[in-house]
Amino acid sequence: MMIRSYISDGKVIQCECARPEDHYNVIVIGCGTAGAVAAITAAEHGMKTLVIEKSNCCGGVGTAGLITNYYYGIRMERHVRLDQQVKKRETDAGYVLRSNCFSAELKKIELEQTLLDLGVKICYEAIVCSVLMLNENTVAGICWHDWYGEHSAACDYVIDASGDAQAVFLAGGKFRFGRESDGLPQTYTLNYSCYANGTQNINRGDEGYVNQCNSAEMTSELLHQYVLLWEDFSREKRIDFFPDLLCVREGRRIEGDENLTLDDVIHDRLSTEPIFWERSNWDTHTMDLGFEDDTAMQWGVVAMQWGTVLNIPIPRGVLIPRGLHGILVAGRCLAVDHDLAQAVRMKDSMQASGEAAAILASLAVRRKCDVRQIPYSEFLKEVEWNSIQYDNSDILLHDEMEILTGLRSDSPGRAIWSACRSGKTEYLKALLTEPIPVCANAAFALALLKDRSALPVLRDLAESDCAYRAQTPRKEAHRQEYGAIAVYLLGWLDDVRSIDLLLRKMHEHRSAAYVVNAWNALQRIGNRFPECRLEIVPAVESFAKMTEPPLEIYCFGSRRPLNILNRLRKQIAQCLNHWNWNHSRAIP
Amino acid sequence: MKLYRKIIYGATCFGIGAACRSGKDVLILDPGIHPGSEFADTFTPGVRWEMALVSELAGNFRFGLQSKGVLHEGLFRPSSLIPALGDLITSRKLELKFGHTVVSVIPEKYGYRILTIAPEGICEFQTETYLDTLSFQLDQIAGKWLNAALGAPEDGADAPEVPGFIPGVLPGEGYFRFPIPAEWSYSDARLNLERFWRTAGKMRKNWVITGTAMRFELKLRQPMVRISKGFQQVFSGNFENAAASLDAGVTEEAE
Repeated sequence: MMIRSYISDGKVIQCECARPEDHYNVIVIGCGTAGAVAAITAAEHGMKTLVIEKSNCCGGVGTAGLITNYYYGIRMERHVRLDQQVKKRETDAGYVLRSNCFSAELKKIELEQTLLDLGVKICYEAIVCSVLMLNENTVAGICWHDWYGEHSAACDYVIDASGDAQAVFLAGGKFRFGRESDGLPQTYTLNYSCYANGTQNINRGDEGYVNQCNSAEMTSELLHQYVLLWEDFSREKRIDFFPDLLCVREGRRIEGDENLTLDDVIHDRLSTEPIFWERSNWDTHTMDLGFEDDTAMQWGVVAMQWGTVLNIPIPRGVLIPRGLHGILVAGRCLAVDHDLAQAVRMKDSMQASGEAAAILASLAVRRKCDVRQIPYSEFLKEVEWNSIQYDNSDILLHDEMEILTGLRSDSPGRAIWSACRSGKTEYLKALLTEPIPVCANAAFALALLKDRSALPVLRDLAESDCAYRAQTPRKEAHRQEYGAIAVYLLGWLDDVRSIDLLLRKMHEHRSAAYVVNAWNALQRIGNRFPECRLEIVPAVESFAKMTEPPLEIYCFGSRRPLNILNRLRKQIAQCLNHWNWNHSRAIP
Repeated sequence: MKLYRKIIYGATCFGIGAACRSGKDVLILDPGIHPGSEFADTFTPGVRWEMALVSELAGNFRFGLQSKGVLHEGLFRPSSLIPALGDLITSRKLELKFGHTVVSVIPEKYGYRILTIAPEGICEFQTETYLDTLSFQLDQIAGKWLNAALGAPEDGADAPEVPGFIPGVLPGEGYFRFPIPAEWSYSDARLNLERFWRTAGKMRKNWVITGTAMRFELKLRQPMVRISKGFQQVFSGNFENAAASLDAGVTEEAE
């Protein structure tokens, strides 16, 4: 007998059921970016493999989703060979594409043909409805549903490459979703293609936020977008086709045996036993950065490191759901925090995650043990990249003169971060009397070190709405004005003297960055010093009652503004509720 | 738990029409994320768009497609149906949930208990009547196609001499309707379509496949089936075009 586990009404339900007759070594859920490579790898390692896919093709966002180019990531063997085969098909068929782009249709065929040639059973238009378990924490099979009814199969290992770790969810695994402040994930793209004048153009503007793990929220967001698209519709745009999947960047993230954070990576707390690598900048598409956490604000905005490329070794524990056996994940649902999920999601590396998961699963099946018990040296024998080592040593400047030169330049981010990491403050304090931007750059570095000697410069920057913006290594999108950055840092330093200034910045409504940074600062001060709430709350309450003017941000590539005023008002209401604010008492 | 008067499976043209007719306490469930998927995701161009329609709703909808250039002189852009139907659903305030695959329809005293698989797990709904506009019996398939969207540079936009080619609304766009045996899987169909198109050589001139359909186009011998009292199946893709299917949904007599 086995235990069938599923979710109903938000609860895990488990009941006994018969063991299925069919048995596979590996069942892969999802034949997308990670899943297709996982299934191919497992089959190449001699595993009897089944793959369950809810659409009708392989490749996920890279084919059906029209994301046909690569952005960073690290190229590892198996998917490089697959891509070479796709390129050969393109040449034979007479397609002419950029080397970094692939024909979606030909990649679907190449992946599928490779799977079929390896004897993998593919079930299209199939969705997982429950998992089969040997006991409360060992997964041993899957039940799925398709047009022909319900089916089930037992297996030695499940690789959950469904994107949102659906099998782990059904088995009662633990998750995180979105960011701490409001639970929202990264922005998503509603792709569609238009074909005109011999060129296929993919619309890839970020549309906003969606929770694809909640059908009601997803429906509401989609209908909103369809209405906007119909309003703007023009026949000359020639919409060619709409993928039947959302191009989301983030969904459920498992709680793993190990959980990796952006803070770990930027402070060099890195694994020495990676099973694959990610290589990317902190590629956030979020434009309301004030709602992100302090690590994100300080790395991406204060130190302006959004464009800096990070090499991230991923250890196996990030693929293993904590407390569960018989199951691994691959793809974007790894055990990383929301900050790091904005880097660890690139197609190359997600394909590599599928490969790594399948190698681990195959070794575990052969050795009849748990993946946790596979010696790292055994894993390395199966991959060709064991000689590759990447590090992030070129991010930091170590020489004080180099840091000073950087702080005096128009691109000071690397110097600010390096100064912060060095921990030394005397030479920074000497710069506080120099003109903007030098004094500001020094003040930013001091503030990151929690040194209050930065306060006078920060107050001046905020008071004067300093409009200066530094250059950054890459795109402009996340550069904030120095006045707005100063507003954030006044909160970071819990500057009680700046309460009146921060309240004015909030009400002046100069920009979303100023308003949200000011609210964050006030919230932090109010959390730390309850006696200050008497001054903060009345002014913040009056702001929270406003429904106009809108507080607008523009997502990447989108021409439509997104009004975040209501979101901010909700946060304020939650905070006041948390403060247990009662008007009949002077201090709660 | 709320007892609906009607649950409709499929945000299809027929299903949306039926929901518009039925008024309150109607819920539409769809496994995907596209309304009108039976035309939009199959790249079905439709025929006889000029046919008379009974309902004002369908007539206005067709006019809307024409005014936006989605339908032009009988030629149609299937994918553009999606935002059009999304707008209709919103304007009529229809209750809809994407992402729900119906797995069980269980007769109860009040009507039917519907179980679905959704991203949040197994969900349950209760209804007096149930209308399925997506499902079909496999032995009812009379025709099956895997269609493709085609593109060409405008200056080379002479129609390819390939049977099954359908021009699009503007020069340089078109569709290819590739007939396949009913027993063929997606793998069989996709590989054969690509092989055919690659070897069509001079016949296809410089037209390329820009995308293959996400669903098969199907025509059934028996599009309407009464399963039991209050449970009907009407395959929305069987109607001649999207407006005709919407019209039938609005005007079809309910049980």
